[in-house]
Amino acid sequence: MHGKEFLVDLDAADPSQVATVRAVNLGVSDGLQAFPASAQLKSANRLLLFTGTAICSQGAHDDDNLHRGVVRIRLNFPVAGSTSFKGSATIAALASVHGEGFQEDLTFAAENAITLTDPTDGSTVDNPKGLPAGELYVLIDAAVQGDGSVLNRIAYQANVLILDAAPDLVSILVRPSGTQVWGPTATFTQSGAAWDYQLNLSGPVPPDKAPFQVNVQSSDQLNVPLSLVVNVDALESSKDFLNNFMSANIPPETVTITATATKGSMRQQSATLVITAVK
Amino acid sequence: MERAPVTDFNHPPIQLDVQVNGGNPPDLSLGAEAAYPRALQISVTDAEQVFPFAGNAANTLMLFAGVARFGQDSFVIPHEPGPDAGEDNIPEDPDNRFDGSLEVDHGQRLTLQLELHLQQQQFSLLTSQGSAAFAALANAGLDTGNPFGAASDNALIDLTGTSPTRQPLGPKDFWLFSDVIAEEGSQLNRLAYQGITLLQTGTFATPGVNEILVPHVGQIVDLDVAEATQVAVARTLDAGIVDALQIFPGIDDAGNPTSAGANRLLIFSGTALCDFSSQIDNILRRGVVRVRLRFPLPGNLLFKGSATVVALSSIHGNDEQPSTFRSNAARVVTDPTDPANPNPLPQPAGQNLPGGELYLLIDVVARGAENGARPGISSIAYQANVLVQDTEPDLDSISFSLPGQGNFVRSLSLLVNGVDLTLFDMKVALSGPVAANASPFAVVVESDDLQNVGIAQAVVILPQTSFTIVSNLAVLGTAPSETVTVTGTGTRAVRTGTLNIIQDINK
Repeated sequence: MHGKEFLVDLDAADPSQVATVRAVNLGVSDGLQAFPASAQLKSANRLLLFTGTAICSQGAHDDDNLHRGVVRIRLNFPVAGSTSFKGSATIAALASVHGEGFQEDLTFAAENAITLTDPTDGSTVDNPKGLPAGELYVLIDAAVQGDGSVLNRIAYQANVLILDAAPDLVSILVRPSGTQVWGPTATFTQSGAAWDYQLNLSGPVPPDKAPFQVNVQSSDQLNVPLSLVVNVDALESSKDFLNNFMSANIPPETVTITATATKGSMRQQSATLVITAVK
Repeated sequence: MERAPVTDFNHPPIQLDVQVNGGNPPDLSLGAEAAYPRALQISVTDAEQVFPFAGNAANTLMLFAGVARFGQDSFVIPHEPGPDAGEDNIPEDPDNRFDGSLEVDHGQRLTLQLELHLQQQQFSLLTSQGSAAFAALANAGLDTGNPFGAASDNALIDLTGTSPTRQPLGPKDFWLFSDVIAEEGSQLNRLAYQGITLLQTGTFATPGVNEILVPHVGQIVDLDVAEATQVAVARTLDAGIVDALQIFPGIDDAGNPTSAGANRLLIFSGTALCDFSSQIDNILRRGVVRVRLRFPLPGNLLFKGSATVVALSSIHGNDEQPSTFRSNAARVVTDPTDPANPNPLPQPAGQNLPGGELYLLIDVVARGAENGARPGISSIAYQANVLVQDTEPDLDSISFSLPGQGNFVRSLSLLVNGVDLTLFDMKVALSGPVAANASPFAVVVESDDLQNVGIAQAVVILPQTSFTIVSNLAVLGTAPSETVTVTGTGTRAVRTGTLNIIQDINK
C-alpha cells in the first residue's frame, strides 16, 4: 500500500529534478526474473540499467507526525509495441537528509522501490499529470518525520529486463546476378559480372522499429565499391539488393562483404565473392 | 541545505583509494579507505549508453561496488563500545582512517574522487563508451539535537586521468565522483557506491590481490527474502552473459584464484527491514544483518564472484542525543556462517541455515538514546551482483539445410513449385554436450506457420551429444512466398531460425 500524504513526480530528463541521470542498454543471451518467479516474465534479451539521484525535496510539514508518500521518477523509456517488460530489480536509498533538531522523533526513509510500466501501480497511486502507461517508472515509497525535516534526495538504480522483438541480422547471402541460388559464397569466373546480395533477419521488422538499417561494406572498395547503409522496411524479414557493380579489372581474389546492423545487437555477418579467373 | 545551488563535481576534492588499507595488522580493515571494494568484468553480446546521449558500441561492462570510507579524528579506540566511547565525537566512525583531511563535516561541500584502482596497461588505451553510477549514504552520524544533515548529491564514474572539471588526477584509472556534505555537528563517514563503465575490449584484466575482511561483531539479525515482512520488494534477475571474471579481489573465499567462465549474472535487490536500533542509551550497538537470498547453488551452478552495494534506506532518531547510523560493509557468501571471516557467524538459534545458497551479510552499527522510540536503522537497501557459471548446456541455435547436404544456416531460402513438398533438414544445437549421467535435453520447437511448415515438436538431444538433426521436414508446395520463423525454447534460452520460402510456380 503506497502512502498518500505526498506525491513527488520527477522526470529523469530534467537535470533539475534528477541529478546525473544515466541509462545503458545491454544485450544478454537470455534473462528472466527469478524471484518472484513468473512464467510470463521469461525470455528477455536486453538488460537496462538506469541510475540517478532523485531531487525530491520532501518536507515533513509543520508537525511531528510521520508522513508517507511516493516519489515517482519517469525514466522516459517506452516499453510498448515490439518491446515488452519482463522483470525488474530496483534499489533506492537515502542520498540527502536534513533536520532541524528539535523534534522528539525524526525519520527519513526510502522504504522500498519498484520499477513498473504503469505509473499508477494498478490505480494505487494518483496521476495528476496524466503520465502515460507503457513507459518505465521508478516508484519509491518514502517517508519523513520531524518539524523542519526534509528528505532532499534519493539515489536509485533500476535494473530492467525487456524483450526487444526487433530482429537480428542473421545472414548476408550472395549470388551472381541472374542466378537463383543464394549462398554465403559466390564464385565468379568472369570479371565485371554483376552480383546480388540478400540480407536476412531473424524475423519481420516491427513497424515501430522500421527501418532496420544495415551498414554494408566491401573489403575491396576499388573493384567492388560498396559502402552504404541500406534499409529493410517494416514487416520485411529479407531484402534483395540486385545488380551490384564489379570492376572489369578485378584480379583473382576473395572479396568479403560485411553487413553490420546499426542498432540493437549491432550483429555483424559476412559473405564472400570469389573471383577465380579473369577473362 | 538543498536549496543552495549545486555545481556538480566542482568542489574541493577529497581523494580516496579503494585499495588503501589500514596498515595495522592483524585488522587491516581499521582505517581502510573502502570496505569490500569489488570489481567485475562482464562480457555481453552488445552494450550502449542510451541516456543522456547515445554511446558507441561496447561489449564489456566494468562493474564496481562497495563502501567508501572517509576520515575521522575522534581519538576513540575502535571496537570498545561503552558509555564513554566517542562521547565528544558521537557522529564520527572510529573505525575509519585517523585523518582530519579526509573528513566530511563542518558543512563544507566536497567532491569525492574515489579511485577504483584498476590501473592496467590495456585500460590506458580504452575510452569509456558509457556509464551509470549510484551513490548513497552508508554511514552517517547526525547531531539530531541540533540542525543536522548529510548528503551525497550525485554520482558519476569514468575511466579517466582527469576530474570532471579537467583537473589532473594522476594515472588513467576508473574513478567515481560524488559531491558530499555533512552539516555542522554531523559527519558523513561512509558512502555506498556502485558504478558501471562500458568498454569495447576483447581481453580480461589481470585479477588483483587479496581482500581485506571486515570482522563481524555483535548480534545477528536474520532475514529471509521469501518473507515480505522481512525484505521489502525483493527481486532476483537472472541474465545470460558471454563471459565474466571477478577482477578484484582475485582470490575467492577458499583461497583460489578467480577465473573466467561465468555465464550468468544474477542481480538481487530489496530493502532489508532490519529494525536495528541502539538498545542501551548512548552505547554503540554492532551487529550483522544476514539476508537469505533464496538462491540455491546446485552442482551445476558454480559461484564465480560478486559485487555488492548497501545503503541506508530508513533511519529514525530523536532530539535526545546525537544518533549514529552505519551500514558499514557487505558481501555475498555461500556459507551462512562465513567461515572465512575472522569472526565467523553462528547459526540462528534452533535453525540450521543450509550451505550452498547465497546469503548477503551486512555489518551494521546504531547508536542513540531513547525518547519514546529507539533510534536506529529501520531498513537497508541492497543490490548484490553475483556471477555464476552454469555448467549445464542450453539451447544455442536452430539452423536449416537442404536435405542431406549438412550445410546448416540460421536462414535458409527454399523454392516451392506449387505442387510438391520441398524438403529440408533442421539442426537443434546446444551450447555444449549433455552430461553422460544427465537426462536427455528437450527443446520445444514450433513454426509460426503450422499450416505450411508443420513443425511443432520436442526435439531430444541425448547424453554426451550436443545436437540433433531432424531430417526431411517439409514445406507444402502451395506455401506462399513468406518468411517462416521457427522458435526453439531450451531451459532459459529462446532461439529462432528462419525459412525464406520463395513460391516459384513457373518452375
